Amino acid sequence: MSSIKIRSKRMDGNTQIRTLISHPMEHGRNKDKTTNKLIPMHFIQVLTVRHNGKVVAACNMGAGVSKDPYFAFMLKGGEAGDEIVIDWVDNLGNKDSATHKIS
Amino acid sequence: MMINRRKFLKLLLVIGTVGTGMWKTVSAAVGWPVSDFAPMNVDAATKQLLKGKTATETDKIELTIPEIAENGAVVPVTVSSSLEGIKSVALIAEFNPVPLAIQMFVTPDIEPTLSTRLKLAETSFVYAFAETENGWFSTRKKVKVTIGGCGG
Repeated sequence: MSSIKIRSKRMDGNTQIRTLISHPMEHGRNKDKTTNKLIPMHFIQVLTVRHNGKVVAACNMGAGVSKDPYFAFMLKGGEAGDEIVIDWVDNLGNKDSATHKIS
Repeated sequence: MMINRRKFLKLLLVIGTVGTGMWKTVSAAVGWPVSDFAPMNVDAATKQLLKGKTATETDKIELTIPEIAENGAVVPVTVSSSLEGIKSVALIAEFNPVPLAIQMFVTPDIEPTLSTRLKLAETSFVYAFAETENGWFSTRKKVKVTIGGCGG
């Protein structure tokens, strides 16, 4: 199952895009309580939002964003049936992407 | 094949070079600025983000964040702005080991509004920066954290 959930809502001609990603966002300073070893860094570095194939927003982030990050964007315009693609890349090179149709 | 000391050292060197090379390509490919997200204090992080420019304080950036955060690991924040020609929006937490939390590059097709959730290590100011065609603008708000975001 994809790690990304996307919801959209039309608001006064604009479209609100909300997304929830399941990701640990470890900053490398937390200790594993059972082994007493540091948990290595593991966080999303780049998140891109595409609207009908065109990049509308790109975020660079560090581990200062909470675990299971949530983002909300406000797209200007947006019609029913438009395609929103969100993808992320983390510091270990993992990536995921999800597609959503505005309803 | 016999591996003597000299050959072994050479091998180490080769592995080392290839290893660092690969790391660099991964970072460069995604365009993530390693130096912006290095652990440092807030002044250094601001300088690094602004690339030597100065930011003007403004009331045209709206930073919505609770004054008292019960849990520093999850602090909801919304930043929006009525400034013209915004290129990017960034959030910096004053006392976080890595102060820069997120920088969003916007296009004219999207409102310069971002809602997300931050980790805050302790009670500190949260700065919102906006980069426009006419330079950088900033605003800040103090957040009191009752449980730290570092303990996990």
